[in-house]
Amino acid sequence: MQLRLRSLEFDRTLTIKVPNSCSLQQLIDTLSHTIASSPTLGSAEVKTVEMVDRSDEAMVVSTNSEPFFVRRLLKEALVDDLYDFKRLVFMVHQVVLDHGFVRIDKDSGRAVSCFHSFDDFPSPFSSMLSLRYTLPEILVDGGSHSVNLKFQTLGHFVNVCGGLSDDTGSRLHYVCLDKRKYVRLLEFILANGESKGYGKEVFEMVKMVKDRVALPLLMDVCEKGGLDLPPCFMKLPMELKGLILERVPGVDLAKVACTCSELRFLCSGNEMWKKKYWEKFGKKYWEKFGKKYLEKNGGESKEGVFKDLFALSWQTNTKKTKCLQRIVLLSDMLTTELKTRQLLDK
Amino acid sequence: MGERGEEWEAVMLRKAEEEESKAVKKVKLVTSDGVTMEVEISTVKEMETIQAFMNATDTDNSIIFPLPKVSSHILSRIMELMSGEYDQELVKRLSHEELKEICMVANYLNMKTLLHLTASAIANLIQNKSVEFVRHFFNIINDFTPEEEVQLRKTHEWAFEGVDED
Repeated sequence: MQLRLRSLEFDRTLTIKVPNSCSLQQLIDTLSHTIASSPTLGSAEVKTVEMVDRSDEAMVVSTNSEPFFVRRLLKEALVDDLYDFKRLVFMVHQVVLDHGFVRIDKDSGRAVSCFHSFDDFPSPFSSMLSLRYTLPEILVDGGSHSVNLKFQTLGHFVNVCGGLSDDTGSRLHYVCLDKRKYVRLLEFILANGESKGYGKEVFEMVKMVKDRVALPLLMDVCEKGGLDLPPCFMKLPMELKGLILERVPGVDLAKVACTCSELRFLCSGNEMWKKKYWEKFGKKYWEKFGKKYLEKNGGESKEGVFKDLFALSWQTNTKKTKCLQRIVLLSDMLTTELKTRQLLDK
Repeated sequence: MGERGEEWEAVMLRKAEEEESKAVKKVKLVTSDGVTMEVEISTVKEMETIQAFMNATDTDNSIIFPLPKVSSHILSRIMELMSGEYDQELVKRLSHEELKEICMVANYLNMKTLLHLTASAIANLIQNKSVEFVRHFFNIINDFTPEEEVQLRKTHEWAFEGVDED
């Protein structure tokens, strides 16, 4: 493989020969050595790099000085499958670190301090990778709870799967990332800055990793290690929970009531259900049915009466819809039957 | 002549005062992580907590308001939402954590529009989900005994038709 480096300022080109199958480290070494020893290029900023290969060519425009340029070259020019995988793994790794995790060694259980940059990746790098993380608080207490994050590349997709490492029966959290969709965007943003409007997709990806993997894992490990739970819905003040529940439809409110005793309490207020009833069924229903029901069942002030009313109305409503559907179905059948008979008679 | 001079002075003073109030007043918000954000006074109008404070004290041009419960990250997200006129699309892009944090801050600063927006967004997350999903999603610890839960599910049986896949 031949690499041609061109300095626009001095209008000089430097050709570097690299063995076809060389490791990343070798490539970095060769490049930095050549650039440093070249009298013109060493001092100047390298503007353009062309990679000449037998099959494909890549062009990289760099406006930075050489150490950065070398890194950039590796990021952008060597776009082979494994590197796409590596880039996504690094992204996920960063998101996990963002949630307060630290990476630990599988065997010793001690924190691994390196691996903070893209180039620190363990080698050899294969299509499967497993990383282990824990929280600093757990390490300090001498605990051994940790989470395992497995990465696997399959075709265009990278599967990320995480779970507690010392509890095989625990819930696993998955996310599947499309290399075609995200890697190019990441590269683009790295090269051009976020202002170009491509940040949205990447942001979506980060959000996906956060909500589906990093946060659930954090919850699992906190629970296991007896730590305070991360911020979540239950930590909201009562009045805010109430405000949110006010906006949940009645049928979902009934399900929320089954989750825990605090929410059962919050979802049981008469006022709340009165509102839900009016929202869902309205005045017509109330005049026809609700009023009578309340008179029979102890009046408006009786605890839970509106909830019962809602449930009853809901049930009759669904029954009605089902009946209607059945009637429509039957009439359809009858008309076709009639038509065939008419045809036969003729 | 003397009287006129005084009159003239009074007019000039009033003019100067008017001009001063016309100049865009800025408010400095100091977040929990020590970042100072300078925002225009019109932005703060929706933050009723701050507004009440400013009404109570005689405001001058450089008012500093500490927000010990708000991080700079969340505050910048809020500014984004405000400048985007509370676009639903922007809300959809928030992570659940951010959503919850913003909801809390909106409550603290008494920002009605934002509070309603975030509360509705969280409520939307609950819609059409199974009990297990809601529990896991919001990290709710089940404190019912198995018998209690069976009983509860029985009384709420009507609500369990047509739940979305998790």
